[in-house]
Amino acid sequence: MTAEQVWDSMVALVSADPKQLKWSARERERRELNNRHNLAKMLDKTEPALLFEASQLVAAALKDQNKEFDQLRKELDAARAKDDKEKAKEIQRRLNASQRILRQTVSRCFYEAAKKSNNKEIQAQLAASAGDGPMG
Amino acid sequence: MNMMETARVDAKAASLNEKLMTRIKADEILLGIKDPRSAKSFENYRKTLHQTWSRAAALPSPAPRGHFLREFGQSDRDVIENASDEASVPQALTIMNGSLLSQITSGWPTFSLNLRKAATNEEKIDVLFLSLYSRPPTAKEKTHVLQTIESYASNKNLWEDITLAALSTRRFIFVE
Repeated sequence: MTAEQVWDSMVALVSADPKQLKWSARERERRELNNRHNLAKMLDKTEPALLFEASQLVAAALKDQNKEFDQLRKELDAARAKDDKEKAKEIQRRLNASQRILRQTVSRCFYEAAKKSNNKEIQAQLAASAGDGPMG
Repeated sequence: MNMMETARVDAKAASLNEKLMTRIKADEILLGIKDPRSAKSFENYRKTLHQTWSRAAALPSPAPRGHFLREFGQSDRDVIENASDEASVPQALTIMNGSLLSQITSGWPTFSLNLRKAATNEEKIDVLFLSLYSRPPTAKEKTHVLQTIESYASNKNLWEDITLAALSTRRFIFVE
């Protein structure tokens, strides 16, 4: 019997409805996909000049981020060579944080571009789907 | 509120269909749940059960490291044909000490409810064999389990222990 068959046998022992789908995860995926779809539709309608401006801001942020990333990688290698686990852990934490900050920067730049749009339809969609801020 | 927050789903807040609710209410009566707090707790248990106990096909593949499926040989999908059917010490430890098995033998799963519905020890043995091995016990097996029950009559966790023993056998793993 495969791992999946053993697992399904156990599911049948626990669940009153073993065929029930993992609906909450699917619903979350559906909502997230819907959000992204709405965002993409908004970007399609945003003025090209604003998108270009946002892209430039993202490119500049990415450049700075890459510099910081390279520096941190060097520091991480040095810390590992010295077997300084505490410092390596701290650098790893900063590396992970820098990825999150980059994602937020991209989100913020394009959110602000859409906010500047003169297209009232975009403003209405933005208010309806993004609430009071960009995606985290 | 931002876009990511709106995607979150609270399974406990979801409403269940009428058929499931009827079944939950019937099970509450069977379990003797009377106070509203315990009833709510049982309802939430049923509503969130699918988050852990969904069939393998409905779970992400590969499952995370350390998950039952991975311990029992599910492929990590790094390369093709990478699943394993080799027995291992971690598998034995998972069966003996893992939290998943205790969830099967605790009070609220379907199997435990079916055991409760059986009035006599003989009926409970039938439920045990039909649930775990998909066949009724032979006369020899029934006598053996009845003797075990008599020997451990004072054990409060008698059926949990018997179930765990039955689950740990090759009969459960290799039943076709």
